[in-house]
Amino acid sequence: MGKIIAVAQHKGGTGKTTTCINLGASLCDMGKTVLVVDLDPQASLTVSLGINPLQVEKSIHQVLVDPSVDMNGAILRRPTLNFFVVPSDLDLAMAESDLVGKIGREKALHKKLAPLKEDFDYIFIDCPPTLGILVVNALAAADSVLIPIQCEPLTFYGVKHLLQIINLVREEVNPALKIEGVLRTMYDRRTKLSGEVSDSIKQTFGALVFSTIIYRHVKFAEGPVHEIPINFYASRSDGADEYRNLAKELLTHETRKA
Amino acid sequence: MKPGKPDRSVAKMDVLKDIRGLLSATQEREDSAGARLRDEGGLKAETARLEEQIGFYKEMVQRQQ
Repeated sequence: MGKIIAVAQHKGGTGKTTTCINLGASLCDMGKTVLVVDLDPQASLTVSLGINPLQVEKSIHQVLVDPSVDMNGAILRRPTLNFFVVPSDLDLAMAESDLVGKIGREKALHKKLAPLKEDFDYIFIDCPPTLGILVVNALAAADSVLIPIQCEPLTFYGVKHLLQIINLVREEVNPALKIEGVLRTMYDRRTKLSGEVSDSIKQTFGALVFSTIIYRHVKFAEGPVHEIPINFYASRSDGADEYRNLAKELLTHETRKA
Repeated sequence: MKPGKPDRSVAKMDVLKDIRGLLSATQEREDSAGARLRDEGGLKAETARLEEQIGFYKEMVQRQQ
C-alpha cells in the first residue's frame, strides 16, 4: 500500500516543485514506483518535466471537476524517466469556482487518488502556494505533509498559516493526517542568516526536521531547461546527492515506523 | 539614558512562538489519536481472547454431551 505525501507551504519559491521532482526521481532510482501530481495552476512541475500545459489532453483540473475522468486517464509517463506525472494546466486556476457548489468538494482529490495507492509506492502532490480549496483537497487526500522551509525568516509566516490549515483539516476532514517532516531548503552557505534560520527551525520543530539540508545550487534552477530531474542531468552534483540523502532518510523513517 | 536596542534575532521572532503553540496542539492531537488507536488495538486483542475462550468452552460442553 503506497503513501500519499502533500508537499505544501504557504509561500512560493520554497522548493516544493523541486522537491517533488527530485525526491520522486531519487526514490525511483531506489526501486520505488512514484507518481507526482501537479496541483499548482502555475504548472511549474508540468513544465519542468517537458510537458506543455497547453497541449495536455487531460489534466488534474478535469480529474477534479469531471466525474467521468479518472486519475488513470490523466497519468503521463515521461519517456526518459521512470516516474509518472499527472499534469496541471491553467484551467486549474478555476477549480475554486468549479468546486465551490459541489458536495464533498474537499474530498474530490481523495476520491480519485486513493485507489492509486495500490499501484504506487509514493504519490507526491505539488501544492500551490495558497491556502484555498486545492490545498485543502491535497491535505484531505494525503497521509502526510512534507513542509519545505526556505532558510529565510519570511517563510515562518507561511508555515504558521499552513499549520493552522493542517489543524483544521485534521479536525474536519482527515484526522489521520501527519507531518512527514520539515525540510530546510535553499540554505545559502555564504550568509549567516541561513544558519540562524536553520537553527531556529531545528529548535522549533525538533524531531520533525529532516537531517538533510537542501542547499542553494544553480543546478536546481537549470532543471526546467533540461526538463528532467537533477539526478539525470547532474547526477554527481551536490544537489543530486542531497535529494538522494533525503530519499534514504525518508525510507529509513518508514522502516523505523513499521 | 538611551534605551537598548531591541533583540531582533531570528530565534526571538514572535511567529516562532505561534508555530510552537500550533505544533503542541498538533502533537496533543497526534498523541490522543495514537492512544485511541492503541485502545482500539487493545479492544481487538481482548475480543479475540474472549472469542477463543468461548470456543474452548463450547467445545468442552459438546464433548461432555
